[in-house]
Amino acid sequence: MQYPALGNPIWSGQLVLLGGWRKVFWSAGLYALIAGVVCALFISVDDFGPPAAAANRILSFLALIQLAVLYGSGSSIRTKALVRDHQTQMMESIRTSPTPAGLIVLGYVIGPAIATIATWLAGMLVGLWLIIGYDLGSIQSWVVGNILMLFSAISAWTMQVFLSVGLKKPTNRLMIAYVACYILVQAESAILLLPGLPIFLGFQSGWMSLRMMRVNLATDSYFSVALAANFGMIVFWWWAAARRLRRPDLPALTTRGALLLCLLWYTCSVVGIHLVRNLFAGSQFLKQDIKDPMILALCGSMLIFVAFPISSAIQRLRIGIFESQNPLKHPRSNCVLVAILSLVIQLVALGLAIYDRSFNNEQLVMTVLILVATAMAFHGLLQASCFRKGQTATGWTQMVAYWVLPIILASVWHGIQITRGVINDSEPMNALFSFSPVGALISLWAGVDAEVKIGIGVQFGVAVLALIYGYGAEKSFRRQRHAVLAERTHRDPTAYSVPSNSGDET
Amino acid sequence: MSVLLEANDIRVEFDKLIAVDDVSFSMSSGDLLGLIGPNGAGKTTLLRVLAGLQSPTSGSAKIMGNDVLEESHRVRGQVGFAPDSPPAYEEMTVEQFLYFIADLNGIRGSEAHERIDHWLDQVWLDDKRKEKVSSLSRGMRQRVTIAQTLVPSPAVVLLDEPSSGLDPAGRIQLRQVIASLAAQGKAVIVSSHILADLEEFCTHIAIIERGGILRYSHVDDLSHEGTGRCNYKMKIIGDGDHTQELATIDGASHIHMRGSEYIVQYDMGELEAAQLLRQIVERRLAVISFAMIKESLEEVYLKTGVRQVD
Repeated sequence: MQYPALGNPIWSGQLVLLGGWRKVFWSAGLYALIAGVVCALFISVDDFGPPAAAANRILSFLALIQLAVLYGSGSSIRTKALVRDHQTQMMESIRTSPTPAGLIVLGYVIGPAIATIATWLAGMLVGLWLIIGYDLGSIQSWVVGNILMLFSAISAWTMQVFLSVGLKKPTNRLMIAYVACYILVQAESAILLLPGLPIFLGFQSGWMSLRMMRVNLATDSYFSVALAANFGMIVFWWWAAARRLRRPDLPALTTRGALLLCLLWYTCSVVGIHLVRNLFAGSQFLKQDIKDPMILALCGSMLIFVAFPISSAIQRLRIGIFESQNPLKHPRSNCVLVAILSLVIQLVALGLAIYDRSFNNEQLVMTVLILVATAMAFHGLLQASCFRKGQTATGWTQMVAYWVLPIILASVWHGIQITRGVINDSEPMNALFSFSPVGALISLWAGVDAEVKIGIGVQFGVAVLALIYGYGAEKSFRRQRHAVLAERTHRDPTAYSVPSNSGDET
Repeated sequence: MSVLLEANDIRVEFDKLIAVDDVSFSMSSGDLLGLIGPNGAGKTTLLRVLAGLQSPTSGSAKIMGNDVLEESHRVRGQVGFAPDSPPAYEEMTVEQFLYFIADLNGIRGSEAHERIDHWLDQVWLDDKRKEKVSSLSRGMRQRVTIAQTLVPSPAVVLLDEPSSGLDPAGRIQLRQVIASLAAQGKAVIVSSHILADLEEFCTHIAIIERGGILRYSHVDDLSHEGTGRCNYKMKIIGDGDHTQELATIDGASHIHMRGSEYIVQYDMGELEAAQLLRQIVERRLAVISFAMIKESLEEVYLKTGVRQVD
């Protein structure tokens, strides 16, 4: 096979690795043929009802397969490509090449998925054949829904590239990212009934479009907003991945980039919350009141997103201190300011999400206090792990454990008490439940009865301890660096001879 | 000659380890620097900094006046780095892989075709162009890496252990290729443990230990650097010991016998050698052979007292 010139070297390279156009087309054609035969057999069997009804059923199944192809095959093949390029050091050759970083990222987003996209296209054509052949309704819904699915997948793929390009040991981290994405997918399936997260992004967008295509709820406004939101996230991850590709030594996101991510996410959330309410008004699609769960989900995402700008600012500070000639006096830069700015953005987003509904003032004040305590605790724990170990993963783990453990312990304790007949089902949860910020938010917005005020007090206590711990770690790091530099200054100057310029010698 | 590469006080620290310790040097067009040192001395880290793959804790590296990190868009394509473990797509053929590299460096069409043909010929892989990289031996893969590094025609070439895995013929050929790069006006740095090879084609040698450069000099000056003196060996026929007579020569010292030859330390240089020989003849000693002793790079290296990094 000759080398194909596609205008993007990564596309061309990946196409060669996939076996070339011929293999890609043959695979997609074979898939379409098998899918078509299976559909025809399914429709021809009397047990599944009249042909149109059977075709309608299998079209729903085909839509699900489309989603699985994009998210399953598309994501795993990219993981494989990225891991291989890291392990073989090809990533370094690619990184230092003159090809623009944006083009390389685009190459990694689309290149490994060329076969996946061909398969998706084949599946869409089979679906069109079913719709036209058995008069199943809107061709436009099927096509636009499929395109939205593709966009949502590309948004996830771009994030996947961002997560991978700067890693030294990508295998483990990629696996973690993969598992995290898997968990998110699972969570988002559940949240289909509680749409509060930015529903127009990622897998959720694909899943929603799939469901809406089949229940004829698709509207132009939904598709337009969903496409715009996905496009916004694609551009953001693409930009961030391009920057990370060139400078993997710097924090994954700049502080401004992390703040921009928060803004994007919250904007999508708020728009999503308002649009979904209108979209489903009077519909049987969602039967329950989704207002409070939506706010809960928004606040839940805020607990996580507040950490990104803080983490980035702290990592930048560590680099600054490490490289400084006077580590003891290196300015603290803007870590606290960034934390305050992140909180302000959160509060504005929260206000916009709930402005048109009635809410309890106390509920709102306590929510704000929880968010403030979480930002403080994150600052302390990330600061400690960054200055002690050079990375922030431990801080994240500690924070998640702090979120989860009190809930588990309180729930287990509650269950034991009920089993022993000490309390009944309607009794409030132990206050331990709200020691966790997540537990406290659930108590406030999801109707779980627990004493929140005590929990918030404990959360502030934990936050103050975390800050003391974090600042202690930073101080200790500054002293260590100062000692290293002082020792170097007093070292025997003749130990190494620094050569003079040799350029003139030849 | 124009300066192609500048290393200015480069320091790389990994927490408590100093991998590169305030290294400074510069290289001009046609310079060929051999980087030697024990394992873990910081050679690869230094090369990675120069290639823009590793950020220094302090200091900077410049290629043709452009900072490799801050002005990386101007530097890319001007530096070719061949790491010690050959990176390549195993599933591609040799030819496809080199076309991929050319494409990555913006070289397409007939120009790509010509360059790939040229380098495949230079590294003796012309007959392997249709074979998959996975089917090649380690030495052949090393050749692919060298071709991969040189297809974009970079001004600065950094080769980390390029001889590893090569057979004797491959090593000879590599020496020729590297020498031809210097002749083309490129600046080349070669990190290698095969000192005899470096001695043969390098213009400069740097001995690196614990991140710092212990010695850096022109290859001709390496064995005598600092003293201005060197050893001469000579064979004198006739009965008896001539040590006492040689000791009367002005400026001669450290006179001793090694086998049937006399070793005399004297000022270094061609004129000085002629002067020494004239004084010996004036003493009516029958000299039948006379030569300046040049220490091998291995001897110089061992004399520096470098040791394995813990």
